[in-house]
Amino acid sequence: MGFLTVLKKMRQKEKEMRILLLGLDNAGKTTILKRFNGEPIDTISPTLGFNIKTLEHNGYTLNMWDVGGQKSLRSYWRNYFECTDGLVWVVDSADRMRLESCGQELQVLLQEERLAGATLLVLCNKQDLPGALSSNEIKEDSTPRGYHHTSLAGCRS
Amino acid sequence: MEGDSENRKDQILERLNKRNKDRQNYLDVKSELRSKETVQNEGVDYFYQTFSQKTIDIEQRLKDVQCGDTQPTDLARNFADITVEIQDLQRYLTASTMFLPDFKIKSCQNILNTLTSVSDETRQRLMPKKKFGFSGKKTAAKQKVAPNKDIVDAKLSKVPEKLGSNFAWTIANRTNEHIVLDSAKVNGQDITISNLNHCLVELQGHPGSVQVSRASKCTLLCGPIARSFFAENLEDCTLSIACQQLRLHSSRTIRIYMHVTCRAIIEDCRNIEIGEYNYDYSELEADYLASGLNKAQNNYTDVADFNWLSPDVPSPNWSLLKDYPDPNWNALRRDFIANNHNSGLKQDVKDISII
Repeated sequence: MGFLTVLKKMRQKEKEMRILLLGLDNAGKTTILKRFNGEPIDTISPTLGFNIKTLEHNGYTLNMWDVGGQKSLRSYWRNYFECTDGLVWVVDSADRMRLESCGQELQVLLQEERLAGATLLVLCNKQDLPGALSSNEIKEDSTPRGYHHTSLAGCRS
Repeated sequence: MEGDSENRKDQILERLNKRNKDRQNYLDVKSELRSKETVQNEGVDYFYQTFSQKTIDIEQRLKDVQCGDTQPTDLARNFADITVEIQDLQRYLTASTMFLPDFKIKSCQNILNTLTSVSDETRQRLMPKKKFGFSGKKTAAKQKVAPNKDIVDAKLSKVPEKLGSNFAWTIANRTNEHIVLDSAKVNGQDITISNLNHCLVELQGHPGSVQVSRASKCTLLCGPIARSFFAENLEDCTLSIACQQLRLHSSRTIRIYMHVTCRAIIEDCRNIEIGEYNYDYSELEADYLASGLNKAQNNYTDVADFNWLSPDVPSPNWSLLKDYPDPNWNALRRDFIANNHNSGLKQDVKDISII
């Protein structure tokens, strides 16, 4: 048994996942995180830096990293890519004004080699708003190309 | 003696017969084997023929699609057909792998892969994606990896009309106008405003959110916003905003009278002055209740500047208004209307496009 195999086995036993929550500012990343964790969401400020929360689900330990989405913080996203198992890309479904730049940012992100092994979830947030695009409209022939493990979900947080 | 020789003759004959039968059996088996082989050979030949014929057919179809100026709807159908054909061929190859030599399997698979990629490429070229989204091709996206600044520039130069067909700004492209939206147009809605010049905008109601992009020398007065206010590329503007979160990007010389229950942030902004919210209209109190904002909590003095990370030294990009007279919106409105008496007060009802 090689050293790598031993490492892999250990990692499987741990069942610990590192999940990265990214998206444009005002998409609702922190809100989603707080909702998952059952915390109040009415006092959320724009994220300066990042938040980490650890959740237990189905015997897995999920380390959720929520990194602020302001323009000036996006260049720091790459510092969080290492060892990421899952990427949750949060889209503000009602923000039609910036949907295009949202797609562009995701596209840039997917060029990143260190994220190649991660599973991608595109989370269409704010589905409850009257002006929201449905997750299918956002998907519209848009499953990011060349990326295999992609799922899409709508939600309201 | 006689009987003995007779007996031997019979025995020899019998042996001869037996040998002949064996030989014939052997021949039969051999010929059967040989005929089987030929059947198999025929199968291989047949496969080669069919495969190459189908390949040529698909190539021809692709060429036709490229040359002819077919309708987009026909184009879509043609491509669907081609994809199905390629899939059929793939299935045929998979089913035939039992009797094909390895080399042939590989080369056929290569042909199929080429066909698929050519078809995809042609489709990309002939039917470019109209809608925005995440469909950008890898090569196109690579250019965008370049400096962040390019992305910002690209965003700045974007024309609003380029956005999705089903998107309409609530208010866009106005100059020298007094625009008032009443509660019916505002309540619970996401208000989007773009490209205003020297306008007075009043949103008398409780919007869900407000987004503003590009405005100069404007005044925006707004009732309590249930969630967030987002603005970018403003210049010489005055805002009166009550909201949960306020985000201001790439703007300069802005005066904000605000009520923010969580926090306000600015980014790439200069010369921002902050005062306390004091917009007033008849249903303000009711709108506060409906929006769910806590009137008692106002963090307007605590603005985070993303371009200023030092916690000890205050950001030079924004300051609190000190000893200022409360702005008198009624007077401002009167002056604005007097100065623009040509257009006068436009109670905007008809030509407002709601999303």
